[in-house]
Amino acid sequence: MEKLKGDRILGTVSLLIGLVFLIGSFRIRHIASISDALGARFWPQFLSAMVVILSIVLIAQSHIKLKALTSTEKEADGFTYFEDKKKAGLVLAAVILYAAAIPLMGFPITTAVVSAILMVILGMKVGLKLFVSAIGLTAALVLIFPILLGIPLPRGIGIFETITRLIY
Amino acid sequence: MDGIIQGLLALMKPMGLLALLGGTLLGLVGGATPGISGLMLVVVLLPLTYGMTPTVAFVLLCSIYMTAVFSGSISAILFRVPGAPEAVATTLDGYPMSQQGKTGEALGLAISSSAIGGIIGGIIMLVMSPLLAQFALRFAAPEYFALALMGISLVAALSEGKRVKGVIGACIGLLITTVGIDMITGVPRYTLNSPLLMAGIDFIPVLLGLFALSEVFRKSQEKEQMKLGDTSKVKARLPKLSYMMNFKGLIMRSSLLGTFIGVLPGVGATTAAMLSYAQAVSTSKHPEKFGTGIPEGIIASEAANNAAANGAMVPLVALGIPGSATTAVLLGGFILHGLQPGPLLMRTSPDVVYSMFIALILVCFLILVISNGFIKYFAKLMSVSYAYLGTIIIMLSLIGTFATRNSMVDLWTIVIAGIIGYFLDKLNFPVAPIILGVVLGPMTEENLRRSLVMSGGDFSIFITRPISAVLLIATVIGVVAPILLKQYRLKRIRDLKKKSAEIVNVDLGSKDQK
Repeated sequence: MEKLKGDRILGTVSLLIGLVFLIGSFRIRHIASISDALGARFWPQFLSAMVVILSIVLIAQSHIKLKALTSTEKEADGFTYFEDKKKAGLVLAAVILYAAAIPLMGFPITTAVVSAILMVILGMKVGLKLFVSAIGLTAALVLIFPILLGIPLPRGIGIFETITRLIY
Repeated sequence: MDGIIQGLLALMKPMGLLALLGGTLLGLVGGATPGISGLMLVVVLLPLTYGMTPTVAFVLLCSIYMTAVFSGSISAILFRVPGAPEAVATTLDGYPMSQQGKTGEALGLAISSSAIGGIIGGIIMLVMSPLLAQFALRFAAPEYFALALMGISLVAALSEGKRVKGVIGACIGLLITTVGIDMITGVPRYTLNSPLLMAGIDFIPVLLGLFALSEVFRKSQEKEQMKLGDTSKVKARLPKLSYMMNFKGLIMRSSLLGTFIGVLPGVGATTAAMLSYAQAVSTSKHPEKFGTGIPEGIIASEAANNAAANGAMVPLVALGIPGSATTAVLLGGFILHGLQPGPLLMRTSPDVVYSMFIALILVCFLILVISNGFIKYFAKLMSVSYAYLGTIIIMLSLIGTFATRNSMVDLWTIVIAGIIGYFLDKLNFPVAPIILGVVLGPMTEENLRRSLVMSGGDFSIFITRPISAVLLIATVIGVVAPILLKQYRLKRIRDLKKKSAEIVNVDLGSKDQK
């Protein structure tokens, strides 16, 4: 069954996205000329206008369909954001921590710490096995990416950089 | 014919065969592991081939390339993580099929379709390279724009029953690609004065975020997560030839489409796979079943991406123009090995060129033979508790994303895309149109504006050029025809209902009279 209340939320969010891009498009310098008839602004404006219009259509459609439902059907039309808010939220927090910490702490240390955190969130018990697994995974990733594939990954700053340079 | 014999003789030496086998194994591992792609492996191994003969070097690199395109489907099917960008469309039906307990069948279909698509593309490439190269030369900006528009118009097919959401998704996907420096005027767009955003938003973090990361968020909530042993007994079940014959039309269409799109410089196997998937949906009698785990979804994508991988070799060897990112690296390889890329390469070094072509076909047979064994061991490696598996998927996705451009923007993009992907799944919003928009975005806008630069602002260029006109007409027919057909069917149903109501009334009337 269509999730009509969800469609209303979706329509609202996409309307906001469309409006942000549409307003932002007016800040793009317009340098249209004979050789470039449309300029840099046309395409983003066209697309964001489409998003705004279609979002309004989506909101209107879901509103009309919801009105036509009986109260029992309205109750059945729903969805939960998180069945278990805690775990998914914690995984997200760990991923955000990784992105924020890697330029500061460097690749090996951040990977080891965040891997351990993720394993705990996903069900592993704290103990020696966790420590060995996190270090082992980090070692494998260091071997594959910076060493074997030669891909430069962040070393961090200060003491973290010093420690990373000892590794690769 | 002489060239083919020379190529065969050059390949059928111990080092040539070892390169073929080694490249296939490396490609299997690299493509199946999220975060490592065939392109990455080719880039890293290219300098190491300096000491090899050109034939051995290019057989190795081409084997890696072709196999990685296929093996991306393994993790796409098992874990909803496309191991290579070319496997994104395979995820749409491969993973749901795996979730229904048909993992073996899904993998078997991927193997067979990849092999068949690769062989068809390879044979076309072998026989028709010069002709195909001439065909590719006739494609300029208007033709590329018309092709991209045709691809975007298929979004309606990809979002059957959710058209408005599908078009919104495609528009948002296209909008994402406008972030960064404008390619034509150099004007910054949506960069918020940040140098980090000047390079724009790459499609790989969007892809991995929408699929891989969001899946880990979702799975982390499940009370019964993937348990030990779920994947430990995974074995690909290669379908019988008689079963594959049921899809012969789809296989041929996808392989041909993949080959011809691969031939076009700068388009690539990912676009070919998405377009092939979209065309499979639009021509299917049951489009609503796509995305639920049907064989056609896997076949269309895998046949096309391997065929396109072969097609991409055509402009490389016939014209010296790379057809994809990996072939661009191979072009560098030609120079490294003292070969002059360009139209004369096939004449000056037929042994190298034809050994590459033959290797690309033989790899497809090797895929059929050794994939099953690889999958068995790969799946065993991955059959650990989700605490490990989820962590590995997240780490490989994050690092693989960062490794592509060494950009923090990519890291944050994958995080944001992961959150968005999680909610889109909850809200029953189709993800495929967003991916289509992100993949086709640059091609669409750049070629639209380049066409107008060519014509001095005259829009008739899209109609006066025959190939562009044909593609645009086909696009219009593709969009309008299903709507008209649906209206016609509804009208027929209404007419039939009216007639049967009349018949019933007449019957009742005559019974009353009696």
